Amino acid sequence: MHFQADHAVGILFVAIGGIAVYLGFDYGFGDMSEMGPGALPVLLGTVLFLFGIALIIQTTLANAGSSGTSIMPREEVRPFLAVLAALLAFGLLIDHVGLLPSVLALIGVGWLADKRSRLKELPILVTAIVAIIIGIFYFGLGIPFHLVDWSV
Amino acid sequence: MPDFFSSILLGLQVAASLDNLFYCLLGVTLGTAIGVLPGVGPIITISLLLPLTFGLPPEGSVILLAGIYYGAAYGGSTTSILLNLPGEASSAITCLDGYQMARQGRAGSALAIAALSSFFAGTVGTLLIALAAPAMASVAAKFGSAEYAALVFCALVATASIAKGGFIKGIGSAVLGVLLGLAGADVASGVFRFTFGIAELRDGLDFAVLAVGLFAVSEIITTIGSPSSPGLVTSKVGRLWPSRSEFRLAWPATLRGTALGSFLGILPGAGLAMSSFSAYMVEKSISRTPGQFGAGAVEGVASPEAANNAASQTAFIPTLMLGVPGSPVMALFLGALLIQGVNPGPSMITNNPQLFWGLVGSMWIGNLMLVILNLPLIGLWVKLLSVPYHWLYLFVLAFACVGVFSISFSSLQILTLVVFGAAGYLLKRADCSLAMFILGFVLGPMFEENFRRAMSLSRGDPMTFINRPISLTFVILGVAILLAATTSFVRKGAQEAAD
Repeated sequence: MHFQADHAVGILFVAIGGIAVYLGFDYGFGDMSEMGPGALPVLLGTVLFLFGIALIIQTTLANAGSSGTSIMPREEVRPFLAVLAALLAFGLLIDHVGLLPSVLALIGVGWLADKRSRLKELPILVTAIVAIIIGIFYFGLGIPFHLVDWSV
Repeated sequence: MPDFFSSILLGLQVAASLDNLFYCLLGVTLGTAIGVLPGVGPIITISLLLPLTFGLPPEGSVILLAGIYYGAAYGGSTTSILLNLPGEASSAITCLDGYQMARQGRAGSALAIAALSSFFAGTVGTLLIALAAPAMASVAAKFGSAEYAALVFCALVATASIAKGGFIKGIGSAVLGVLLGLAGADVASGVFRFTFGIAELRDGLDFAVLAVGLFAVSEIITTIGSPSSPGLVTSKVGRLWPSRSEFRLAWPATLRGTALGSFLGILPGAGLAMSSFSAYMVEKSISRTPGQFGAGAVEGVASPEAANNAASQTAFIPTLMLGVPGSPVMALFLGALLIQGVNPGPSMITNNPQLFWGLVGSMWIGNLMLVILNLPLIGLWVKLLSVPYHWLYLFVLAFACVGVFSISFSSLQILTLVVFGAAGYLLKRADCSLAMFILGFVLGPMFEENFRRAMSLSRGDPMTFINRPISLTFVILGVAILLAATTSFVRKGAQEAAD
């Protein structure tokens, strides 16, 4: 028996269920007629915990002898990392440099996600995307972004 | 009856105001433009465009959102027919015969039949909402806390029983969603829950950020990773107007699909996907030429499209009258209403007739706009389809990111987006239902509030859920589904272990 993706899900359910029960008692369960803020976390955490255990048992029984599965296929590692890094770059920059440079960083990092991308397409693509985004949000919806803001 | 007509008239008046017409047009156009992108279904389209609606007055934002919803559904059937690529489960059926018709050079009539049967079903569905909603509201007015809590329980269990990845993971995802939905200040006591000392989390997690991260970001990652971009079957749409013989086949099928879909749409959970699937099955079984199905049968496009659209209309009835959505798309819709400060429920018609009837009116106008604007524009949408994905995803990513940031100008929202993008991707790869998760998230606070109130009203006696007939019905239904799902699950597990 090898580790299955469903084992990970089961462990996740058990862990989050356990945490919810623990925190729930901390918030205060109250009593049946006057339920406190922790009552639902305790009850639902218990349910989640039990379903997690059921899932682990079921997966172990059903997959005895089969080989393990991986959650992330190899060809998705690159897009996974690049897309999240692109969002992160935007999030870290936006408070400090304004909208335009942040969007440029987002596109630049995000561009690495797909190995089919070609460098010579990038300038046109960037111009088009920036124009559409600024057009919709800044001019169309009138959201008062700081387009460029190096001050902070 | 005169009530009915004056209400409809009020609705059309509200919807036909210049502002609202514009929002409706903007909604259907944007919805189609984004929904037509390969792999982008209504759920992703709505979550992407959600931030755009926040700045508008309630009526405008609801109308814009409804327009986006119809546009996205229409865009979804376009990609099903031209690319064999359904945006969501409910349009998967349209692929079967629609794509075959496109391959035979009948793409134009397939698109027209899909649009016309959807429009017909949409009109009937809208009338049904106008007729049934007031009656439903008077039933809903009898609902107390116990009934609401039992209904949410029943709806979640029913939806989980058909969830992707199986029942246990489905219900588990829903509970995860409910727990996350409880994050923030507890309404009754003011205690901060699951905030881990982060001040911004005290108001709870932002629904739009969650939706964009879970659905849009995870979808971008998996689509880039897939080996080849989807190719267009044909750039030639061909003659748009269906031939006389196609019409003769299509209209009775449309009628049957509409009837079936209208009924199924009201049911929680099962609604949309089941409606188009069962409509297809019905057509196939009563057809004199069942062999035609899967090889470009007109009825195979007309009936599921009608059923799908009728169901997506009548699904508004429980969402608006009870505040309990039956599908993830409706959950998004409900979430957006709550953000606007609109509390759906039986009092919505009396307290907010402008909004309610305006929405109903704009549903019909939206459907009409789709037919008269989008059929002629089909060439433009086809061009959009031929934009390569490695350009598109950058645009979608930038759009999502700027949209999320514009909600509250907080960079913490973007970090939340990163977390939920990663979580959404991993959950999706582990075959957990993101739809269940978002449904739990939206219904969580409502469930808690009603559950706690019901318990305190009964002075701590859980029998209150059993002593009340309506509540009892939901409990029995829910428990029956729960038992059926878990026993079949245990049996399946034992069987697999024995093999």
